[in-house]
Order: sequence, then structure tokens, then C-alpha cells
Amino acid sequence: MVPGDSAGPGPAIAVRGLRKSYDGRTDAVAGIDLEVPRGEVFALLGPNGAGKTTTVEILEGFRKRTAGEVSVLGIDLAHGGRRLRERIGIVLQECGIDPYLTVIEAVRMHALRYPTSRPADELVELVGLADQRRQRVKTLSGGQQRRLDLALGLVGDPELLFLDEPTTGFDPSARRASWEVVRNLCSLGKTVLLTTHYMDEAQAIASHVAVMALGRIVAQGPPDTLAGRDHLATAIRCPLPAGVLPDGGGLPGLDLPVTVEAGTVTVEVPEGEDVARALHRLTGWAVDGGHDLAGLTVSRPTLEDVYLRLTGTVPELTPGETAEGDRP
Amino acid sequence: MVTVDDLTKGLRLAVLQVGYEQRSYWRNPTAALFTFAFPVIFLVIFGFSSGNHEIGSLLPGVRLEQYYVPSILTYGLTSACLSNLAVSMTFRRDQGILKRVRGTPLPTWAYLGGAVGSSLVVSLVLAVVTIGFGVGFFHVPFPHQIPALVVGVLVGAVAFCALGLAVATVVPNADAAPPMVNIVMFALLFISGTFYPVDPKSGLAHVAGLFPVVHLKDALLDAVIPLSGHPVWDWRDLRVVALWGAGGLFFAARRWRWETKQG
Repeated sequence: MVPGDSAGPGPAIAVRGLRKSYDGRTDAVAGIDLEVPRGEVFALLGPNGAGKTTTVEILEGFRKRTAGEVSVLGIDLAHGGRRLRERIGIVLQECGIDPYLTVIEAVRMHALRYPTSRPADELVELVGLADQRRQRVKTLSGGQQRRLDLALGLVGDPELLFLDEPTTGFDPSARRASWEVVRNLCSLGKTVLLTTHYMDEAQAIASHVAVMALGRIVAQGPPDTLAGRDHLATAIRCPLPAGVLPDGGGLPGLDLPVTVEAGTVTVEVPEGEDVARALHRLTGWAVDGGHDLAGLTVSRPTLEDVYLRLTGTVPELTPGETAEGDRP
Repeated sequence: MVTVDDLTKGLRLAVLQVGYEQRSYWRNPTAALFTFAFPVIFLVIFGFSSGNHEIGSLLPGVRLEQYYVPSILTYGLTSACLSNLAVSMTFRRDQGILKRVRGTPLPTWAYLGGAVGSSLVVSLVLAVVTIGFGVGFFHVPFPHQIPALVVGVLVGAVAFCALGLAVATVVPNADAAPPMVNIVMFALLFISGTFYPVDPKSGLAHVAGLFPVVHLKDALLDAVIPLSGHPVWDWRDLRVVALWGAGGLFFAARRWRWETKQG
């Protein structure tokens, strides 16, 4: 292997037309294209059953693809095998560790398997398990085991790290600490492919996201601009003040188009219009009428809003699946 | 392409893996109790309760307490290798431990080699303890045929490890492992005359003769207790054991799975 090849020019992951069908029936992955540049955190999002795990497990070498081209770190997966596994780290959900080994023993045992490895003590420190280093794995809490998972994923000093819902079951400070670990990896030029259910996690650490639904990628891009998020209307929201009755498309005396739903007033300010002006009108109206606006918020749609819209609008999402199952 | 370098590296990893397997084994009360302590306890109970009388026409000149030394050693090898690997590998598959191994560069043969090596260590310790008890308390002559004994123990242990890996591919999940493995193992042990001598002309003995347990027991018996008319090196029995081991290895290699099937 040519030195420096690992940091080569190509993307960390390149996928074209990837398809996977089980039993030749439905496609769990129905032809996706994906490119993960080196040195980035790339998040793969999607509801359960969208095909995320299948996709990631193909990239990790656990599953064989039905069709398509896949290259990971410049190696075609068909001839990847051990040479590739020396250069990647995998953090899976529900992947056990020998319960009778201690934390430090488990890290050392895994370190042996890689041509280059990070010092065990340093890693245990990094994931915040220094106090538990001599504790047996079976005595760790769920969150501590997940942190040990992360340490084992990093032990081979991988160029590419797969993280499958890495912070499930973490308390908020542990989550933030592991986000910091992931960000630091990227500053070292490592690539991370993350799957997560937490949109705030994707927002916080991913530079690119792809949203999957029903085996397809329905949107792809930086989290801030995903699916035109940066061009979507800003929403001003407040609870409907007491004693105000909405009339048709607005509130009496207020010169703004509003929608009222479930006791919440929403003013949508489209891209290009002045949010301050709309807010000024609303607050002026409230002061004049003596209305209380406690709970007022001004927000762009969050990544979660966009995500729900994307995964909710895939036409056959829920009804299609049940219809398939009910067929005699 | 597998190079010589790969092989030496893999071998080194397998040896280091034995160390970790050993720590895990002795710290696991279920494994250490059922697969190591039980055979020793059985030997003590059977040996001391059987008295110093001869078996009679089945094995002229052999005392019952002597007989139990190779026969309980056979039980020990079966449990430390076959039962231990079948149960622990099924458990590891269920827990995702095997899947994690699959995601590392560790070669499959080095990982399984480490597990087998660890079972061999336990087998040798069992052999020393069992023979030691026999010599100390049960009038077993100090084995003048140590090479035959060592070869018998190693062939038996390796073959039963291979069979253990094969059984692990048949057992669906960790809950099913102990009952499935124990029923089959104890049935074979009983009909093979492990806990009391069985008349070799009986129907049971003919059934037992199809399986490897009785052959290992006979080979160990010949190596431990000198009997007139029996060769010390019992190649015929060892060959049957080795063939079963080879079959087990072939079966395990074809059916080996890293993950428990869902649903």
C-alpha cells in the first residue's frame, strides 16, 4: 500500500446505484447514490425501516449488496475484507463485549488486532471511563457500555468511523462530551458516518446529512440548507391571547395573515420579507389591545421540522407498508 | 492472498487471545463451575463411593475406582470443550460479541483458535487434576505411558472443540443452548459407560459406538490403565474420534454464523 494513499483525493465513501433486496421481494435499499467526502461528519437520517442500517451494514462489510457500486476508502467492498477493516472503526448498537473482562482489558484486547492503535489508557480517559478502568464490563451502566463501545471503535485509530446511534441512552452531558470527541476526530482529518434519530445531534455535529425513507434518499445536503430549509418561512408563534376570537384568515384589528391552530397563533414570514416589521405589528397590536404574548417565539424551521416534512410526504410511507402486509 | 507474515501475525493474535479467553473463563462462574468443577466433583463422588472392588468380567483386573479416572476425564474433556464452546459461542452470537469480532481485522481462524486454545488449556489442567486424584487416591498406577495419554487428551480435546463449534451453529439461541447441549451430552456420556461400565455386547453399546465419546474413553482407558491384551496406543479408537472432529470442523466452517437470525 502506498503511504499517504489513505488520505488520497477520492471520497471516503462512494456509492452508486446501491440496491439490496431480501428474499428477492422488497428492496430494503432501492438504489441510492451517496458520497461522503473525507474529513466530514456525515449523518444518515431516517425512520425505522428506511434502510439506514442495511446501507451502513453493507458499507461496514457485514452484508452483501444485491446491486450497485460501493467503494470505501478507495477499496471496492468486493475485495475489502481485512485490509479494509484495519482502517475503519465500527460502533454498532447492541454489540456485546465479553462481560467478564475489565474495561482496560477489553480495550487492550481490541488494540492488539490493529496494525496501529491508540494507547488504551488515553482512550479510556477520552471516553470518560478512567474511574471504571478496572471494573468488569458486566458491572457498567448502559451509558458506560456505550462509551466503551466508542472507545473500541476508536482503538484502531480508524480513518473512517461508523457510528450507529452512538448517544442513545446518554445523559445530556455525556452526549455533549461525545459530540466533542467526534468533532475532534474531524479536525484530525477522520471521516465519520453517523446514523441517528436525534436531529439536534445531526445539527450539532454533521456537516452533511442525507435523509432516507423507504430505501431511497429523499434529501441530501448541509443541515442548515437541507431541502431548502434556509429559504423556508420564519414562523412567529404565540398562544392565542384570552378573549380574542379569530375571524376568517386573521385576528380582529391585526394587519397580518395568521393561522390559528390548537390555541396557537402562527405568523409565517416568507423568505425576503422583514421579520422585524411583522413582529413589530404583532407586538403593537398586543400592546394596543392589552393582550399578553407570553410564550412568543420566532424561529426558522428546525432540522426536525424539515425531516418530518420529508419523511411524512413520501407517498406510500405508512399506508403502502400495511397494504403490502395485508395482501392475501 | 494469505502470506507467511499474515500467518505468524494471526498465530500470535490467537495465542494472545487464549490469555483473554482464560481470564474470561475462570471469572465466569457458570462456565468454570459446570465445565471444570463438575467433572472434578463427579470424580471425587464416584471414585470414593465405588470402593476398591473389581469390575468383573467386563474389564478383568480393573477396579471400579480406577475405571472412573479415564471415564470421568472423558466427561471433563466433553464438557470443557464441546459443551463449553457450544454454549459460549451461542451466547456470544446472541450478545453481538461475534458480530463485533467480525468488524475487526482479527482473522476468523485466529479468534476461534484462541477459543479452542483456551479449552485445550482447561483440558490439560483437568487431565492433570484427574490423573493426580487417580494416582493419589484410587490406586491408578502412575501413567507409564504419558505420551499416549497426552496424545489421547489432545486429540479428544481438539475433536470435541470442533464438535462444539459445529453444535453452536445448530443451536438457535443462547436460551436453548444449555438444555440442548446437556441433553445430548449426558445421553451420550451415559450410554458410553462414563458413569458405570456398559456391557460392550449390549444394544446401547452398539449405539454408543457410532459416536466419539466411547472411543475417547476407551483410548484414555488403554493409556491410563495397562490391561493385558490391549495396546497402549489405541489408534483405532483415536481415529474415530479424529474423524468426528474433522467432520465437526467441516460442518462448523460451512454453517458458521456471526449473528443470531432474527425472528
